[in-house]
Amino acid sequence: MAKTVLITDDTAFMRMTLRSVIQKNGFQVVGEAADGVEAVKKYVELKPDLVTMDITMPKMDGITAIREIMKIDSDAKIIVCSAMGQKPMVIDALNAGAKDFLVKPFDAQRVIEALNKAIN
Amino acid sequence: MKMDTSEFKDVFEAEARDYLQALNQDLLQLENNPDDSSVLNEMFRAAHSLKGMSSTMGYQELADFTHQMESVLDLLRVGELTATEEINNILFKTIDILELLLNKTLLNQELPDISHMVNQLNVIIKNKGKYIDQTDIEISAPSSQSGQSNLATISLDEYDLETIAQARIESFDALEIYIRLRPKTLLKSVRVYTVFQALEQVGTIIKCKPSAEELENERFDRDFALILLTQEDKSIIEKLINNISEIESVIVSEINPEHKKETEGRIVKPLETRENLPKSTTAASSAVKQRTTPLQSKGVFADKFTRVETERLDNLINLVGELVISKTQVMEINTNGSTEHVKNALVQLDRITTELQYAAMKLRMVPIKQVFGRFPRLVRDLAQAHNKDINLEIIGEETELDRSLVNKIGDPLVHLIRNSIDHGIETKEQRKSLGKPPQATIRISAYHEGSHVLIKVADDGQGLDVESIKRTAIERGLLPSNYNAIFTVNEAINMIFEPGFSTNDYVTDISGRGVGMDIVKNIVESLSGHIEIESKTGQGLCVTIKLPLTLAIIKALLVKCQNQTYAIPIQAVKESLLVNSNQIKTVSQQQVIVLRNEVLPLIDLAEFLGFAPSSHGDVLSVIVIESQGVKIGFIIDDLIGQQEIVIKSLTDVLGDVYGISGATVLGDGQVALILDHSILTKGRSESIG
Repeated sequence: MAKTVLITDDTAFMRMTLRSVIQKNGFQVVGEAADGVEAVKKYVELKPDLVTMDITMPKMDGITAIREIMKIDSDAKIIVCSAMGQKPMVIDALNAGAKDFLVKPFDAQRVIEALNKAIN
Repeated sequence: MKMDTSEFKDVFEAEARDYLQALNQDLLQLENNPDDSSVLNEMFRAAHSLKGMSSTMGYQELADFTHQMESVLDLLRVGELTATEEINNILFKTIDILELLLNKTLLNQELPDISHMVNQLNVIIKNKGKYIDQTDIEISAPSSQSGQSNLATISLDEYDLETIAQARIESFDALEIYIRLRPKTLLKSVRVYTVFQALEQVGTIIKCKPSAEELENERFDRDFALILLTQEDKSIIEKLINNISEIESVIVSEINPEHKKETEGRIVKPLETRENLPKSTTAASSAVKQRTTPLQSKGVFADKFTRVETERLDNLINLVGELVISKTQVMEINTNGSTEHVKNALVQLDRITTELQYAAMKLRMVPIKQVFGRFPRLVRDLAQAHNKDINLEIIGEETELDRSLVNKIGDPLVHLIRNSIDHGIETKEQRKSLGKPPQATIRISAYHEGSHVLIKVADDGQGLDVESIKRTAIERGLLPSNYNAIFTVNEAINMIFEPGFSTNDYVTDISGRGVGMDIVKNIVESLSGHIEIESKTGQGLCVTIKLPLTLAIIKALLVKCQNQTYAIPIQAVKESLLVNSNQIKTVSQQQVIVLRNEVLPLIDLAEFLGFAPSSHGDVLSVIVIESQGVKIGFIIDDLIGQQEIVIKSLTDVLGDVYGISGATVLGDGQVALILDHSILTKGRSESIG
């Protein structure tokens, strides 16, 4: 069965691009969240195998969301998505429990690699 | 493999424009509350998202420039920079340039030279704050090729050997690990950090090359090496590292203890890496704390909205239009003698179709906010440029109207606002001496009235300057030079709508092109709307634009000509007449009639449309059409009546057909062409004189 993914990003555009890449490569996108609060809520609801997590988001940022999700499920596989110039935040996210990080602009191969590696 | 993003271009554009709009609005807000950190956070986030989206689309220039803006916003956010007027002006300029870049990029046009602006931002970033991102600097200046792959064996000093020896006693192996990252790995230092993080789970890193500091500052190319003390087998370590992204290759080898001198001594803790990396993360976490103050959401992209391609929407509306027509046909067939059942079903069908039609029309409606949204910025810029103090009130920005109208009404409104600020509103000094509050007010409001939307632009300035208008009219030859009669406010109002009248002697960098009120009027009328001006000398001016709610369905008068049915938008039709052929006179080869003491030119519609002139009887059917102040009587074969019609545009195959603005399908399935009333009267005024 295809592994399930929850996409978190505050821009619809980024969610769409990620969704298209992820789905074309045999994963199943089961949900999208536009902020950290929603991500935590949907994680509980959907129990996805993988989560992609943007950092800068309204309501609750990605790092806090990672911490919250890790509290609920210490086995959660979260990949943090960052932009250039967010190095300290990426490190924080990794310390909070993220398994890997992606840097925008996303490269499709990298996205898939990260997902595959996180699942192992 | 680059991501194929072309299919997302439209979504990108829509969302990018939203962000630009939001940036503009937030910046205006910031101007009023320079210390409002939530606005700054909001702006930072908007710039940040825009940057990410742009780089994903491969719009590097856009992404780079947004990044610079983001850096400035970050300085503001952390309080290292204050939002002075100068900074605000630069930020406004930056948003403008972003918009320009966006437009050019989307059209695949050559990008303008923005180096001046880039420098300006760089100066701000360099002088006033320390937020300079190492990683990003490396992007602009390709990383130095130092530390290239010739990786020497890590040399071990006595301390290291001691440590290894001690570890061996506790059955830890010392592994030497060489790792090569993939080319173009982003955030290399963080990638190295993930490797360290993974390895620290299974052992202790005692040394690395390049040094931890060099690794952290990315002063290396793709290769690095480290020594790990671990109890795990080397194949497990290999696997562990291979499961980290962006690792091109890894070589793990055991350090042969035989070669190393075994010395006794205390175990040192030479974890250079441990000492350094966590230090940076503590600094990082404090930075993160600043960055994670609760951000307010405006809910612009909340889940309750879905973006749909306009084309799909138009398609749906077209289909609904067809359905309505087809329903009408069915109803017509069935009026005579059918069972109660069929009748009931038809009533039901009728109701649902009507509701569906209404719902579909609603889809085309958008809040006028989209247009009003850019006015605060406009007013601010103009007020600043003219050294006037203006308070802008916007009322009813939620008022909805047809999307196609929203797109077209912007320019006329901008012109009205410009006029207000340029001509209507007095300077602060003038206002004071007149006993008016120094701050002037412009009120822009929109509301529904029946099946129309009313948009008002009102100011509390001086009203129309009748004398100046009169002078200008004489100058432009619109009034005789010896005009001496009393010139009323109403005459002044009519005058400013005259083509060729434009009081603007000004050319500012903002207004630039000077469209006159006549153009404004033309645009409004082309949207089947109506414009009205009310002027109170010394108290202000109010311009009201009345527009239909939608352009997709209009009321039209159906007429017959050469056995064809034509539709004419009802608001263009002034009246219909029956004219006796003996009333027709010919003045300079033009047929005319005198109607209520006015000379009305007559044109045979058939002839106008390029058919042979038809022979009419003694009594002619005439409809009087008025557009842009010109009245013409058209002779038609027959008058059918009024009807609501669904407008369909002619396909690209036909292109623009002169005099025809579209087509509609009638209840009986016949196609009727819709006549473009503005063209019907165009070009005729001159020949008629």
